[in-house]
Amino acid sequence: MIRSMRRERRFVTALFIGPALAIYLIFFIFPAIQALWTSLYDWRGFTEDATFVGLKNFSEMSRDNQFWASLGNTLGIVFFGGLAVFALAFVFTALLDSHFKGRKFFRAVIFMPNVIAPVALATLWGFIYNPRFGLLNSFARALGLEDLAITTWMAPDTIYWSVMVALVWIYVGFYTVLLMAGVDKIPQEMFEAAQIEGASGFQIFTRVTIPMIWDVIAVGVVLWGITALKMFEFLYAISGILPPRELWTVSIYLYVMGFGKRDPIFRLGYATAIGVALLLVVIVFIILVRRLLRREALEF
Amino acid sequence: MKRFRLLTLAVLIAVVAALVPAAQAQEGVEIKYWSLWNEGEPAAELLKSIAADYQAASGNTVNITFAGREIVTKLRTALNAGEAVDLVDFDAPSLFGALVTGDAPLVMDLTEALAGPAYGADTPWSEMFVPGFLDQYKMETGETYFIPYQVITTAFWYDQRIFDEAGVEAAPQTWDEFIAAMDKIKEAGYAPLTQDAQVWFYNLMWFYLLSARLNGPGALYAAAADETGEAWLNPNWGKIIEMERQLWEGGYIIEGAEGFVWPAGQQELALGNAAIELCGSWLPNELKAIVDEGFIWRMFPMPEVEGGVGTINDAESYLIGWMVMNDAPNPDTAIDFMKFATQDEYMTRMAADTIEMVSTQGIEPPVELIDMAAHFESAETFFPPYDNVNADYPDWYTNVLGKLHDDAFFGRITPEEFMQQMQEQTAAHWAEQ
Repeated sequence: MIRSMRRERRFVTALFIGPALAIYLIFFIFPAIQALWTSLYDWRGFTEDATFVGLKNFSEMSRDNQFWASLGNTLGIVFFGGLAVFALAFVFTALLDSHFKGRKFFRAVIFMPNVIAPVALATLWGFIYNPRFGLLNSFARALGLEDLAITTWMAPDTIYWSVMVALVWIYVGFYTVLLMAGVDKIPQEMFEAAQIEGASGFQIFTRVTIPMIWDVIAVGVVLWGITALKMFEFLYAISGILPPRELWTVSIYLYVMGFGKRDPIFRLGYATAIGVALLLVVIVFIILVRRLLRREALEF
Repeated sequence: MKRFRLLTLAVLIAVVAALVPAAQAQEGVEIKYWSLWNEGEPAAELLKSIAADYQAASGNTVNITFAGREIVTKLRTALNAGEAVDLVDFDAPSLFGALVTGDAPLVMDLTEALAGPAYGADTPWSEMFVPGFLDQYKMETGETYFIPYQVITTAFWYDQRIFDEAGVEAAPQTWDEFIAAMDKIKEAGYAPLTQDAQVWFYNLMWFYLLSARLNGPGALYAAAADETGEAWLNPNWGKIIEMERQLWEGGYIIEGAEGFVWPAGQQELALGNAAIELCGSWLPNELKAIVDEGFIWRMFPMPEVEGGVGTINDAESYLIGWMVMNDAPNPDTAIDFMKFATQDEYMTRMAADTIEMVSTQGIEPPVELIDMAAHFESAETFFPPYDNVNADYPDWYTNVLGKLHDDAFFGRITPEEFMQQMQEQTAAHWAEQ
């Protein structure tokens, strides 16, 4: 009887999990394995003719200055962009947590860039940074800040950091909302108890709020890492035709090398090897973050 | 008996009715044509119109996919998925770089088709084209894979009114005259040059055109192919960088240009803030909605350089045209359509609607490109854009030349460092192959 029930349960479980598992295997796991295989070939992708080259693509990548420069740009976004995004998200969370009037409106405003297409945002920031009639320089000129008003924000020396500011502006809303969702789950009594004990607002935020949303922070950092490591659309769109090299991330470099954008470089095997390397970087990042942010879960 | 006759008649009618649609379907075939244009662009609208006329004339259908400038990338996916494509069009370097590399080209040799008659004529089709254009992409082994229909050139574009105001009486023929003209323009209160400097291959236009004047057409290609990289130690490469830096350091390029997000640079030309831009002949078409009615489009080619091997009569021709896929289901119809489309009637409309020069002879150029037509008229040789290194060595072109040229163009490295690094990185590039 028990055996029969178990068998039935297994069947029902398989019935529910099966289709999803099949889709996952076909559309995610199989292509991932195939990508590993493709990365071992010299292949242009127009025909099935491909030459097995073993680990040559990876060894070439290790000597490819442009790959390392692109990886440096990517990691810069992960770390410096991440620091700015989370610092601001914490500030906004603390401010919004004070329940001032217009809280929901402000939350909606800072979240808004997340619902706008990256191409539209890129166009907007292109206008903001235009050195001749851009919003930023015009504003500085109106304030009499002439030194600032002649800054060329998108020049090769400044473009990376200018675009970083735009990226922070785009993503800070999402992470603020994420952190606030965690804060909203904290029982009100916790804050009241801290206030009765005489804790300041800062102390409450650092000693009560942050420890109690630690799991949300950990998830947020992992999400940011994955987003930043794969960063592509906004950087690609902001520069009109093809992003300047100063903005090339690993994803953009992969696209340049594999997809013949502007110039007919069709090194699909090499591009796939770059993709495999990026996957490894993502895995290492997740493992590191999970270890660094590991805490005993608080139950409340 | 009567019933039998009726039955026979009914059967005959049924058989004929069944056969008629089949016969009609066999009358015309459908070719699949992938084009670089986007839906709505003047060239796309014209191609649709030509396809409709061709269908009316031949009964064949031309099914056009307007794939945009990423056509080759999309074509690769389609070919991988087993889709059969007859005809493709794009710029020559991109098509050659994608479809004619290695020992097995993916496209057909069209030599025989060119020797055959033009559409509705007795003369060979090849004779319709401006001499030199077909030869530009003829293989050393004799095959012709590419049929051009549009011709672009890279040159200096300007508004005659600013030149008149500044007192520049004639288009510069030498680099010194060019600098003198820009000095006059500066004195008249205009920025002499604008540059979409964030686009690295726009910056490279200076380099390969100056190379064509100083070292002669083909020298850049030879230096790219030099596996030792030693060719890059020739001081002429440093001299080109010095000339480029002269433009920045002399204050000839409009303020802020190093941070222009395309098309901010060319808009400065249209708005009359800058006098000249080095760009492709697509510029009048791209700016037609922005320039005022009185804008007088003029152009001059890269001036000659003192001590240079190349002359002003070496003209860069950047060709856009067709290739027929090797496994095209209907190659003869694809060829027939190309012949139909290159008739004078359509080439005249191509020139007028797209504001571009066309590849066939005897077609009136658009008024904006009168100078370009004169330049081509006096041309002694034609050479491909970027000396064809972007087609044959695209990886090197993007990751070595493009990178180091921008470093030198913006003054991050000296001309000597440029030469040295070009030598080292070219050698390193070839060592990886």
